[in-house]
Amino acid sequence: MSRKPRKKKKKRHATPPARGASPSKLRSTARSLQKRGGVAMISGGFVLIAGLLLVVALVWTEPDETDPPKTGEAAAEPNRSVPAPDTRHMEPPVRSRLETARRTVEERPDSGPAWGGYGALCDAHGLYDCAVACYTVATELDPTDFRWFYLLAFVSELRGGSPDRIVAYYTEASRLEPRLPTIFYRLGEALTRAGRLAEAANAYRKALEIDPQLAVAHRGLGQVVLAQGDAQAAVGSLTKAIELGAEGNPATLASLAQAEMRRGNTAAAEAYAQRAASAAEELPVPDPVRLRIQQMNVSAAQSAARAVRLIQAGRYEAALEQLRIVEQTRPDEPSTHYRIGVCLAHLGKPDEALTRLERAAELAPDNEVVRKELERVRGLLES
Amino acid sequence: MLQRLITTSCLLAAVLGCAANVDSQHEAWLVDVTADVGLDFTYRTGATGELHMPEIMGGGVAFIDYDGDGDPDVYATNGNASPAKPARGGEIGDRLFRNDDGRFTDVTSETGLGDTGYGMGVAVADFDGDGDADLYVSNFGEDRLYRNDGGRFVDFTADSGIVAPGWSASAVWCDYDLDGALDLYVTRYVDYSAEKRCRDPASRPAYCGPLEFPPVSDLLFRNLGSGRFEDVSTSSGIASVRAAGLGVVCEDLDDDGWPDFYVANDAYANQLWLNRRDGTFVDRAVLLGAAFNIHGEPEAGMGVVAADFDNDLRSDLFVTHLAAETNTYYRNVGAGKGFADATGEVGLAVSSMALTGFGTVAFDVDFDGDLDLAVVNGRVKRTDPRPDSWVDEPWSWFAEPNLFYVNESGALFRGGAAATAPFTDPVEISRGLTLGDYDGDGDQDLLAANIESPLRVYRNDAPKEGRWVVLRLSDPGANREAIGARVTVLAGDLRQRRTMTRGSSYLSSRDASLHIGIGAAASADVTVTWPDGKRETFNAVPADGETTLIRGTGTPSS
Repeated sequence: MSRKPRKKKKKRHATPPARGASPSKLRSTARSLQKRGGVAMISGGFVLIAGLLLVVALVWTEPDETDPPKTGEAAAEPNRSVPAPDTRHMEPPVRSRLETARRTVEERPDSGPAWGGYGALCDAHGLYDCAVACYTVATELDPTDFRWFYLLAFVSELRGGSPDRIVAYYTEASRLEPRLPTIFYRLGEALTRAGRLAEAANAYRKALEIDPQLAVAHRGLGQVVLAQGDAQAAVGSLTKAIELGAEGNPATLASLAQAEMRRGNTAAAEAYAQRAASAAEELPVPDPVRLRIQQMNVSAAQSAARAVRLIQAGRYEAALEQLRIVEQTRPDEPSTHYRIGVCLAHLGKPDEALTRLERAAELAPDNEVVRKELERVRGLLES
Repeated sequence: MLQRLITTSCLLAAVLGCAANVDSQHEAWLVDVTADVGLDFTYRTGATGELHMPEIMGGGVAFIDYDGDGDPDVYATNGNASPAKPARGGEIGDRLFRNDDGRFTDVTSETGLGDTGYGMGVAVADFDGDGDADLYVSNFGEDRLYRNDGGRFVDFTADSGIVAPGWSASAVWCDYDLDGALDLYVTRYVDYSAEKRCRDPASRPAYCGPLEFPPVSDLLFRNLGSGRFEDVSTSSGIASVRAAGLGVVCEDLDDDGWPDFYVANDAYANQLWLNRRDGTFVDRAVLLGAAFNIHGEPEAGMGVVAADFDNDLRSDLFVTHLAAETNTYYRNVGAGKGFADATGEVGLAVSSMALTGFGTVAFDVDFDGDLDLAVVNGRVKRTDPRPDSWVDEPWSWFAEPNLFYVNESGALFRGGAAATAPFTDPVEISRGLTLGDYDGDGDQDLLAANIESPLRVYRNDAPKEGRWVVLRLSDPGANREAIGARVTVLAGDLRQRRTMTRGSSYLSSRDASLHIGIGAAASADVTVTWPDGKRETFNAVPADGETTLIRGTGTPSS
């Protein structure tokens, strides 16, 4: 039973609503980067990463307030408009930090650290378009600082940037800071996503030359060689990741299950799949740069989460700093008063702790945890 | 005759080296004809500014030939004035539009429809085998089953035994137990609480994500054949997993002749429910490489399509995801070894990283013999408004353009073609997307649902690279459209396999027809593997027309 098609209707285009200008494009820094030559590398180990963590923590600066404003060509750069994210509904500490960083850039438009710092702050708060724009300028003004290239690569990828540019940014970052295996690890991830598997495998191997104990790079290499069809090699790399601490990591176990499946080892595959289903451990990426970005988020939610982690680690002074930020936004939240009380009690200030805990109990009269801590501190004071 | 002449002209042009090229400067391949066809519908959320999660998740669309006149009509779900808690009633309701020669008329009232639940998805099928298409509507709140009685619908939910409270998303009809009657799989999202408030990383009020709420298990209803359904969620094993289900397809993914289910979950591992042929299922997604992406990470699964993109006669999977994740293409490796994330290799990764994908369809837009891919987008996480947004605040915080990929043979995709701009340009919050030939010209058109902006019809005007067949299946049993049948089309050097299905994408349901490009061949040999495994071959199915393959009229084959 056949039916012939009806005649197509006359073609007419619906008129779309008026639209504004296209989003701004990334600058073409990558093209110049690709001409700059090779990547120097040194071998290293875990000690190196720990050292780098320390270096990044010490070197990292917020927008440089002491850097004197300059005039001249850089300041007159026509296309360097300073991004202004919509801060209307943000919490006061977030808005304040962003506006301060923005003003710093406006006052010092030729300062790479100022642009980079503003970009980092935008990045920390999920404002990626702002971050990309700022990091791009930072790489131009401060081309010796690997962080701007590294962060630009990372954020560009989140925004669907060109793989060629992302690779160029990571490559330049690794040239400027050849001791950080995480750069090669991230490069491997980006290349994997772009389907450039052979290059991705090489990037992971470079990360492992610097730090042979880097479990995430072994895992990444295993996943890439599996995608290339080499299940045998995949099992080797993934097993190495397991030996280095990934035994509770679902991603590693799931990849291992697939590798064994491809090899025809169904029983082993099923065993790994079962383990993956019940596993929940993260496999840490030793990334001092991204860690610092995360720490720059001053929203109440993030500050409270950091405060909890710091309290658990016994770092009460640092926790208090975070809780003061939370308090600016959530002055009547019982958990904030409770945590401040806990910190003050551990810092030997029971009187102040008592005030806070009493306020917490007032706000949450049925909370047993608050009540018990209040009684404990009262007991301390009485004794 | 005119169509045949046009097609012949195209073929001649191709021979002369002037073959249609997606980058050439000709007319748009997909044309927004919404205003021209009289479809005037906008999905209303009832938003009050409190940012309740259901507001940002709906709705769905369906092509359904409810009146049996041979052209697909349109059903669209709608929100409700109460996005905080499930409620029914009020002014906002779902709509049905009748297709009269390519123009649509709102026939909601006269057909007894207009569901006023907080609408999510829609699944179409003739569940009672009486020859007309019925409707299942999923809601934030109780779902509804509407039985079509000769063009007028009755709410059959209570009589059917289907009870689906909570928050349902995509649903699919499929005869999983091969008893001849269509069963129903319903994904369910989360146990939502309106009291929960969330903020984005920049501390601005934002919609919550699924991990803020308890996950729930999906539902499976077995059709008992008498209009009654039995909830077999627990006995089948489906209820053993709790996740945040959004998309679902029913497809024989391990080539054992029995339908399986693949579920795209938001922020949880996806499930590949392999049919154990005894009424039960076992989740093998992790083992078979379809649970996570290439990095072994769960992603925010929204829409899903199962189709043979690389023409190796195996069904691959494509799942849409959140921004900062890629959409993911799982290549079917075959030989029982499951799937491999080949997203980057086939060119689908980078372009999707900045966007949040929902509805997705696979179809051969230009009849060149392979499946192309359309994806509609729209954020769930707040961002600064795009300057090119087509919607005003607050919806501009979530608006994004769409994606269209041309398959350049063997599943190597290329996006960004100027000719597809009318589809990819709208910067809106799109959700449901489906396929149907509304104008009866042989190629498939697109229908997209948008939050707080008009539903859009995109007419397929792509220059055709070859001839084509449109196939419908007719089975005298209860599964009259032969949902689940596999069709292999052989024409010249081209060999393609398609599955007859109505359910895929996100919250949406497509027309029950197969539109297949066959190159220069004047006819195609078609082998149908009916849902029960029996095979028939239909030789010399003529090109450039629609053919209904009636079971029992072909040549039995092994």
